Amino acid sequence: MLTIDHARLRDAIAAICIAGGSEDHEARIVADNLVDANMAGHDSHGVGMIPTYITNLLNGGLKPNEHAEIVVDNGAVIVIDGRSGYGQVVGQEAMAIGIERTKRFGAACVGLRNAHHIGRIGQWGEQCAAAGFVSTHHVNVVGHKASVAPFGGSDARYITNPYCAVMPATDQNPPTVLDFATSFVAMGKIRVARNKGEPAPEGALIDTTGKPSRDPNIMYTDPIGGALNPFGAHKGYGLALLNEILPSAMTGTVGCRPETRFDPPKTINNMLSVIIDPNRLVSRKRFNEETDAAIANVKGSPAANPAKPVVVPGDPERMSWKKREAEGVPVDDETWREITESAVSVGMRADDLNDIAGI
Amino acid sequence: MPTIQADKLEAVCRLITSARGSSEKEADQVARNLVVANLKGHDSHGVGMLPRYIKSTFTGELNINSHAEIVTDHGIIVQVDGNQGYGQVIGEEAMEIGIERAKAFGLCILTIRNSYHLCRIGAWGEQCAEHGLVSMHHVNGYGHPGYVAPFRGSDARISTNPYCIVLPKTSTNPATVLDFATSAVAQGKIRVAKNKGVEAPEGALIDHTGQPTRDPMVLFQEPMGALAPVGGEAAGHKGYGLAFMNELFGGVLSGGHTCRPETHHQNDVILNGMLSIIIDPEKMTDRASFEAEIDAAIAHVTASPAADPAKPVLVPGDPERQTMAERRAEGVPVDDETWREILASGESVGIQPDTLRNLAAVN
Repeated sequence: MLTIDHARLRDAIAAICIAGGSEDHEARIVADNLVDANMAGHDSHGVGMIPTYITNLLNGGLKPNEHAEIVVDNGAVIVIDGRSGYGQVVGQEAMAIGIERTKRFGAACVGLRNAHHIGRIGQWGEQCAAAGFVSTHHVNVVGHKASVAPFGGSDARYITNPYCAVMPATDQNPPTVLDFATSFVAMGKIRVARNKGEPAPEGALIDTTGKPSRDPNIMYTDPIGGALNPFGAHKGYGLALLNEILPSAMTGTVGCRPETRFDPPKTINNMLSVIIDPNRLVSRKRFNEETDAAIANVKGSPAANPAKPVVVPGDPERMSWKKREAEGVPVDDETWREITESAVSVGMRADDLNDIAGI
Repeated sequence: MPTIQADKLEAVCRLITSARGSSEKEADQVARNLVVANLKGHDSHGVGMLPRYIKSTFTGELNINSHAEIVTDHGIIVQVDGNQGYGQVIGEEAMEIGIERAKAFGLCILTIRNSYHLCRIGAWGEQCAEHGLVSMHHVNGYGHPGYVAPFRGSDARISTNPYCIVLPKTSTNPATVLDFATSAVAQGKIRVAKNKGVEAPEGALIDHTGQPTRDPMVLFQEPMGALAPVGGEAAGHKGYGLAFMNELFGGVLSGGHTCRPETHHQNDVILNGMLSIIIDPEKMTDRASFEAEIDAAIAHVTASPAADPAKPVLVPGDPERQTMAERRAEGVPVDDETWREILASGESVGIQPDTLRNLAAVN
């Protein structure tokens, strides 16, 4: 396991993107987004994504230096095409357009389609929150092998379809950032169990007959030998299904189905975002008072385990950020090996990459 | 346990509500909304609520014949005060405003505060869907003690804060109606377990120290436990997260209140705040491709072979439609205790129990 200073890791990832053909500005946006995900503790959306990106780039599925294009414009309601560009870039551009519309109209509904992998969804909510706005985000994933079964089903039909909802900061409290996969656990947890030779968490997996399974290996056979369950049984499944439908049906594109494989391969995200200016609804004073009181109320519940106090969404990510800023970002050997391979595949020397990363 | 035909049950509720002074229209809205909840199998939001409503009219915490009042209007953004009127009336009136705005602008952000119980939230999504609109509804409850503990916590701090998303029907499929409490189960299920003397579902409850328990009594006697958020030990932070965002969206953005000791009422009242997002899909894409994608996604997920052949994969709204077909044919089961409370509630507004029994065709 390596531990890499976050600033150097940003430089290393940006260098790979530049070698892949991205302009400096784009490379910086991609690197920051991925390293920020690691900083927040969401390693599944961190620098470990780079190998997939570079593979898709070299195969022509991911297009460098593309930009978000507005394809339907009804003022507060817009559809934006990501043109298979880096999701980090087109996502940021789409949110910037949504924020501008929210300033004009008080709220906006932004459909983003055909973006390459847009990374950790919380970052889009945080971008809106930095402008002082509330937002919700429904996301699906297309072009990837399905991994999650519907409740009561026996095979994978779609992917981990995340949901995100964010309340901006008050004068006292940072933003409340809810951002989760609608599967029982993230695929990353299954990978960890498999690598350690441990059983998967109870309730997380089913086999091909729909029976519960604790064997993480079933997710790595071809064809896939099982599926992730939704979190919260029929409730989590319902949210996953709506996340599957909304971002595609509302933007004139298609969701995750066997017939929607891409050639060349690419990982596409579609996202339906709603952005709201809270100042049009409540005074800053009331917003602060009521939000702070609600946070204090739940945090006032005595912890079942004193070592694990009640937190609000966004707190765990902030704690991880603080720790990794001080101590560096842990990158496992296998991930770094894959990243190095990617760098080499776009013409970098492994030693140069290690020099930039300070390894 | 009496089984009562829907139209007769509606007549019973209408009579009690109007005897208390509600206009004919209001009595009709309340009665219809409650009976539809029973028909759909959501008995926790059905006619069993009426006695509580009538009681709150006497304590001055439910104002009969009140209407939704627009307090802030920015076109796309509308804020409504419910003046503690019947949620059945306030909800329907507010949705009418939201539907009109969403049709005009493509999007409406509608909030409601100070409404008495908005009851089954799916009703509001369904109202939007009848006009071809997509909607999401974030709800908080206040005015009563909390029922649900935050994840990792050990006591009840917030209400069951439902979340609802509804897609309109297509030419092939009926409306997709997702409507759930963010607690692991509804409170009603714990009451049922207690009355039957059986264990509560696994993962539904914690005791006063925050440890999982299956004893339903923890909700009914000291030391009090709480409902757990949906998701269990592995994913309870997700359910809690949804519950808490609903608390903020419904309680703060509406200009209403969040659930805390300072906002409790002396009597056990159910007030709701709600943030509704209403979107016209035709402002984003054409109706045909919108419907085609919904149909294709539904066909794809329901084709997953059922783990148990007796329980095929469903889409949200299906279980309610199945129950509704059964109960329209066979009548609505109303448990003895609920029926007793309804009769007593009738007496409190001057209606003889026999009048209601005759109306309901119950011996």
